[in-house]
Amino acid sequence: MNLNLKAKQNKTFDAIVIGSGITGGWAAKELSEKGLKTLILERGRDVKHIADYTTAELDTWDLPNRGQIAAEEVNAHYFKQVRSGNLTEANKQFFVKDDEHPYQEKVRFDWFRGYHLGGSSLTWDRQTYRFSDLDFEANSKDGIGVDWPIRYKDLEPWYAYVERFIGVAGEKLSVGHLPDGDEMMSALSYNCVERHMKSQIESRWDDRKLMVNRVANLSEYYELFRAGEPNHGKRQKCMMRNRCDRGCPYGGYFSSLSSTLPAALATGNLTIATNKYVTEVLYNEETQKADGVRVINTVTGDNEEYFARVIFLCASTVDSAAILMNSKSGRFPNGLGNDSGELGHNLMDQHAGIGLVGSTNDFQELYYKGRRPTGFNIHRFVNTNASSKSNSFVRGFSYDGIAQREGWGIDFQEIISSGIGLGTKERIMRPPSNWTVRIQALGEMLPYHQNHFYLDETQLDNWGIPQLHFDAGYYGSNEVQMRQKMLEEAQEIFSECRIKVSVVVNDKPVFGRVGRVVGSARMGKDANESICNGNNQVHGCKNVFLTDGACLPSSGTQSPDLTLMAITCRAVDFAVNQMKKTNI
Amino acid sequence: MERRKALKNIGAGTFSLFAGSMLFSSLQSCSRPKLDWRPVFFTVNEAAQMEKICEAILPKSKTPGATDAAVVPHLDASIFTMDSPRERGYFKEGLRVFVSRFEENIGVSFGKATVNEVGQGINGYLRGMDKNPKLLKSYMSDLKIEGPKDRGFFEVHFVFTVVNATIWSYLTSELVGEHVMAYDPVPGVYEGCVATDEQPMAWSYL
Repeated sequence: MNLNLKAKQNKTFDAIVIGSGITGGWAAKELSEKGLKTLILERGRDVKHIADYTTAELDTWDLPNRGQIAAEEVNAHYFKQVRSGNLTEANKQFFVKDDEHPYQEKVRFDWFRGYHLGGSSLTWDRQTYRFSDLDFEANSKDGIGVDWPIRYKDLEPWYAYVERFIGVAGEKLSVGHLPDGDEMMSALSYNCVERHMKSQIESRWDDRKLMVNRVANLSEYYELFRAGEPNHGKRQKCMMRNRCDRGCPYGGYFSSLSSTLPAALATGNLTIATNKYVTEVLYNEETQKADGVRVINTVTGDNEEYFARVIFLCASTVDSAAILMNSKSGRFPNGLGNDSGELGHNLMDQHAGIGLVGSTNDFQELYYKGRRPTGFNIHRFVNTNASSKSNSFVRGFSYDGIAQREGWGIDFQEIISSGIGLGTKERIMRPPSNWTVRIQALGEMLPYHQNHFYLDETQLDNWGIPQLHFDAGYYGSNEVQMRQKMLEEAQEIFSECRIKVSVVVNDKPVFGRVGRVVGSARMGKDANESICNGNNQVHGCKNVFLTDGACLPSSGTQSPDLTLMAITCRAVDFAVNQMKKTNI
Repeated sequence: MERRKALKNIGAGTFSLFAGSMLFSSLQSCSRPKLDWRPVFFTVNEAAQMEKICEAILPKSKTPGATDAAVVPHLDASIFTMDSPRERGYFKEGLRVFVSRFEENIGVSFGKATVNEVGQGINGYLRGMDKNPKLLKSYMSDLKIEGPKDRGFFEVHFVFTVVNATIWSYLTSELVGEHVMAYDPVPGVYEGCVATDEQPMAWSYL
């Protein structure tokens, strides 16, 4: 009895955070800094900052297969992760093996993920944009889905708080619906073609601006930017190597490993446990709160339980909802917090597959130095006010793009014309004659109840837990109508900038392909329509908070990550205040 | 039918085109490349043939050639580990067809041909593709379908694959990446408007 009591005490904390990615790292930092003994449970393996970035210093010729992955290895382990087009020999260690982590799909659903300490914070695109009330009020104004229970004013101080800590390199644009950060580091530089495009676009259209993406890469020394404040992760300036997806030994970009976890560990309040696969939140019918979580130790195969006064679900949009689905009880037979039946539903991903590739003969006398780790953005400009209102669809789209003069593409057509031999050899080592420009549109997708996933009891994973079965491939007329405009406006932009189009991309969208999958456990004012409330408390279980992408009621046209960080900090602040008042 | 005929004739006509230069070429060295490494995918004979072909695609001058950059040992390992069995089979058959038809196209056996003549052989095929763009398109379509392939398919496949692979291997070699092209593993800055005369070589592939 005493032994059992002691064992339970060893597994009891003030707070448990499930997941160590972008939101999990923030939750752990905030909880620890507020004095709570915090346990972070990571499903995957440990990754040591710097020491485990094993490919970060390798040049192409140092990699056994020069960056490529063998067809047999792809077929055996990465047959779904490879769909991203971003999987390489140098970053594959930060993606799951599909044979070890299977899922089912009724129609193609691209679920890219990495199970390891730091999660996708190691491989994210680092784009850091605020949402605005154009986003927060959208569902209410359009009568679609559920109204966001929060508005911009609720998140504004938390956006500033997060930006200051992570360091955002970006330009202030004074675009009302894409709010500027209060304190941003100097923006990353344009190249000559992008500067030309910016000038052309902004002189032709009053309502459009082009900027180099706002990113969580340090363009200045952290100590100067945050004078007098600790730099626990010993982060350095971004070295413009564009190898972020291998892990950065300089800590040049924000990740849990470079930023939030070192800060949390410095408090002495954080315990990190890896290889802990959380399968269930333990709901107590008497207290109507959660006691803790059930875990499979993926090394030993043992079942374990951990206990805490408050639990933060930060496992990812899909995995957090899956844990709630698995958490069945007498009170919640369909999954914790799921009185509404909306758990797993309303999944969204921005719709892409539309873009242009082109080139310009101008600026041949200009080249570049360094490998900037991002491209440019043209923000949403449709349905932002009365004058830009579309009659055929609601919401809007933005463009991601880049102008480059990289000399590594081998144009076989050119080889056919010129033949092989000395001339070709010398030419392929020179800068290509033209600059190439690429843009792709990212459209906001509406929340549709039918886009969902569920636990497939007939298909179990390696630990006997039901696999997830995705049935999410529906695009409505709003998306279809919007896609026409996405292509038309891209062509207009290229024409205005005198970019000669060489390739028109007009493919069907693939769900999950953009990697900004949100929804599935949306926040809302009413427990009959949503899974958590405006403070991210799961309905009916007030000491469980869900703050990752699952909680979003709409998707926006920008990266959601900054918003999720701000939401997490705000929810922790609320939770700790509630604990002080002994409300939870 | 016409397409098949065109594929078969892709190398035809090159004999007359290059006949004028053959006398000159025959005066050049035609010694067989020595193989000082052990292949895992190619036979020794095939590897020697590949050395000559790759050097013809990217010959040595003031800058290194394909042999200097160890292109064939890299392709030998790369095709062995990276390609599917079908792709591996296509490549070997393509090499065999290319070599066996060489004398018919150029007028000298492959074994006796100089690197320069091998280059003429490849350029003959490229010229055929330039004159008839359908060749490459038809090949791309055929590639997606499994099943028996004709000689024309293997000829286009080999030329397309070996040229691309040689260039890729060369550009991603340590010799070229670190010592010939502009190498800067830690730039520290991004500058988007630099005069090209300050940068005669392209940045290496990192």
